[in-house]
Amino acid sequence: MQSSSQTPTTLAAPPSRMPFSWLGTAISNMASLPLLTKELIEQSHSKRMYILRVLYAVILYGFALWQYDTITSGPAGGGFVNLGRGREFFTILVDIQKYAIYLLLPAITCGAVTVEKEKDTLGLLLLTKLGPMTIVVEKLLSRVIAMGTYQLLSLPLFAIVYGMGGVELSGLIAAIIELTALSIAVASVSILCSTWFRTTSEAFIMTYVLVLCISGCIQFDMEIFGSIQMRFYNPYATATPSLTQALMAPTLIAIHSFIFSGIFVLIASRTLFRRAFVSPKNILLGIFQSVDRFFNALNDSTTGGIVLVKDREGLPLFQPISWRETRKRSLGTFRYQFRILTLLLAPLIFVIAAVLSEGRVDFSSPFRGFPVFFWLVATICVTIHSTGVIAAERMRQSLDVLLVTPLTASEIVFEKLSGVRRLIKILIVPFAVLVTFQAIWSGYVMPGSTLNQTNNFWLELVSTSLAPFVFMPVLMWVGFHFGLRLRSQMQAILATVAAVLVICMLPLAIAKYLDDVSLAFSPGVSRWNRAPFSVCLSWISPLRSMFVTNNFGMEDDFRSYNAPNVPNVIPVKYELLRWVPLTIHFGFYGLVLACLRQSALNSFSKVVKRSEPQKEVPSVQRDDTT
Amino acid sequence: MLAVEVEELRIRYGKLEAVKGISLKIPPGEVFGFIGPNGAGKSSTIRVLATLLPEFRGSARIMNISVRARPHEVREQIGYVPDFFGVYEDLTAREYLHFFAAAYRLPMSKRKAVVDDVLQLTDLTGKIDSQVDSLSRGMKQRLSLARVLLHDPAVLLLDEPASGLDPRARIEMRELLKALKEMGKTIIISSHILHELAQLCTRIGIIETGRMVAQGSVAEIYQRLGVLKIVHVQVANQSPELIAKLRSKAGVTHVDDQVDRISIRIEEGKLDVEDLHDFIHDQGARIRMFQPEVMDMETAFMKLTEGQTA
Repeated sequence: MQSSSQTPTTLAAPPSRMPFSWLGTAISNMASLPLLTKELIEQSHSKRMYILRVLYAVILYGFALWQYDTITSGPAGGGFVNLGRGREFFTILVDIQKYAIYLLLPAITCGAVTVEKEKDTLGLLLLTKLGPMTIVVEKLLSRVIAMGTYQLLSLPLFAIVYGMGGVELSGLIAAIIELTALSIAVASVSILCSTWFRTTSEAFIMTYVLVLCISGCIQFDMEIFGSIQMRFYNPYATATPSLTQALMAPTLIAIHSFIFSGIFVLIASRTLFRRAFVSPKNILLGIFQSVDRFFNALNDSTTGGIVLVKDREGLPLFQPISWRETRKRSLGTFRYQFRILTLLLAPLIFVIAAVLSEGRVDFSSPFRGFPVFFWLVATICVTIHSTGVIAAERMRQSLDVLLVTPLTASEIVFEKLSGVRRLIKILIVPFAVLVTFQAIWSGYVMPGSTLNQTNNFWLELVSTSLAPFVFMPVLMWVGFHFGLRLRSQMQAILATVAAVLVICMLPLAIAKYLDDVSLAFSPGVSRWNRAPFSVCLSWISPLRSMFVTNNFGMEDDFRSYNAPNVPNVIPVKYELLRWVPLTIHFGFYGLVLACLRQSALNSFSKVVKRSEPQKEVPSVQRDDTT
Repeated sequence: MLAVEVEELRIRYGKLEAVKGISLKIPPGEVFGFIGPNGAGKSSTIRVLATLLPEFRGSARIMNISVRARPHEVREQIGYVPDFFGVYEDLTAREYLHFFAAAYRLPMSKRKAVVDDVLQLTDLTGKIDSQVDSLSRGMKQRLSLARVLLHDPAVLLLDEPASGLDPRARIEMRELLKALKEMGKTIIISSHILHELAQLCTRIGIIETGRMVAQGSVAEIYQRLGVLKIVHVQVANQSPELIAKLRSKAGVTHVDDQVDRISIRIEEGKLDVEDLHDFIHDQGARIRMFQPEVMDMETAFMKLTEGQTA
């Protein structure tokens, strides 16, 4: 009644309208950007955002400090000599920003729309008056702004660089244009993947694949537009280019990049409706199944359908979780794991055949890229699989059902990881083939070698042989820990990859820094003599045993800095001592492996909130806290 | 021996105390219904009994086994159906049940027979080789029940088993639970579908803001409420004298003379409906309609709770 009595009054005296008020309303509607506002508020409420920003700042400033020190503390550095050397530092800083965009922006953008799909909120968003283009653009802007905040962290560094001199205004503007264009290009590709794919994991993988392609295109662009710029400005003829001349290539690249970004955003807005309610699909399984069909058809047409190794079907008998992990999960079944093995072994066998047919004496250089390839594939496969074992149960809401069975925590953990363990066994095969071939072939082509050479050979053989047996299980347990503790598999994958990078790179980076510092004080002395701690620290990095040849990289540690051609300074009688670092290295990681395993078993029940036997307390106990 | 015994159960999530000293004593073979608004503490209590919430105060025992001290043994005694399906959609119904038969370490020789039995009981025999993801919601829920019956547990803990099911599936679920009740299983069931609980349960506990507001059989709860029952009456020869006599009758608290009927509120226990009928008849009134309003579980629930959460 009250409202009805008020309505006529309102109608009788409408508010006086300003001329062109509709224009103001339209502009304010356009400028309100509700989705962008909501996204930015959400980001500001997220603790993770601040943690990442601090981490980014620490890494950025740490790296910048190291680079600054490297540039200024060399033989030609120090005092006034540094004036004008800002360009060198500036280029490095801009490059860091570019790498940050390539690495971080896809990760923060690929979930922009997929998260809405996963939470079933995209439908609600589409029911609002916001058009698909508005949704896509506002989502994109929210991520570009977030990336911008990361980039702004480097402003003080740029101020220092500008103060050092050597950086022209044109260079600064060109860098801003490049970084902005790159951010928008990468974000638009990521948002396209986010609208197209159903899950964040799918979007994440495809975004990085496409961003890799884009980085190649941008490199190509730079070549093309750089040569165009040269037609207008010849550096040999003109000492100082005008601002317009200097900015020509970056501007052209930016325009080119904006056009493509616009196309990506347009496609994304067109596909937003169409792909809003697609059902989730396991892409990996889909790929494997299509490969399956192809090979089955090929097998039928060539051999009449002969199958040598059949995947065992049947029902679970004793270890049900293990049965499901190895029979029902895409990366767990033998058939699919065999495909991965074939993928890894085929190029290796081809190169081995080539080496054998040529009778080459060099048994290491033709295979140099293989460990990198094998480790890359192994890291991806083991990370995806190990992070997913618990995350998948959580996603399916089947974890509780599993936890109320009488299986013990260790049985659940070990059985859940049985598929990963089998995958690791498969992934070890290519490493074993490579090492075995190199061992046999080297024995054949290098008879009668010296004690030092023999020792080198065995050090290398043992380190490369042990590495897969130690590091892949370490990776499995790290992935399992993150999968157990983090909310989604995507977060667990990112955390595992970050942990791997930190474990591999941090000891080397710190060691390098300490080494550089010590070099300034004790030039001409071997690394071991001037900074033994940095040498020991560098031995911790798994990269030392995974990739570094020359007997675990130790020759460099003991060689005099100013006499790189002097052979190993360790006397022959101490040859056996060279096994000590290797033993410490693998002993350390063996210990890490044991700790990770034990910690996973101990913490499993606590993390998943499963009751384990505790001491009984009196049946009626008052809660003192209330 | 009690099937379930809970004393002074207190559960805390950070600063929030979700359960504030609940006590239960459920003898074997009883069907205990847990009623309460969302966030009242029902699921938390059931999760403690299902060994899925280790942090709690007080004591909880199932078949006289302490949940805190011997959770592994408790797991042998319980069957837990969560408020979501929790099924592996990449398996067939047969594989799914054999998976859990192996997890519960059923002897190999018995597995096939047990799986066939539970499938028959849950009326899923025809779906034995169907993929779980192709089953309807009702079928998935029945498959969940089949799963918990594999090891023949003494106590079934069912957290909202009928949520999200259509009326037919709910009725099928209710019939299945009745069959389990006849088999002598002790069942703790939480649900929002209150009239179904009233039909099924031998005892009911109403929980709000982590406290047990009322506990007992359905009849006991109605009685404890001291509910004012309303009787709607139509008489052919209605007169002001009749209304006045009704108002003065002991046990009648209010008489509302409406256009088409007289609504009489009586206090249960002081005046029976049958006696009221006789009284009106004795006044010479010709009764055209005599309709007592039945107080259902929802009314009792609304009266006992205030819609607050912990």
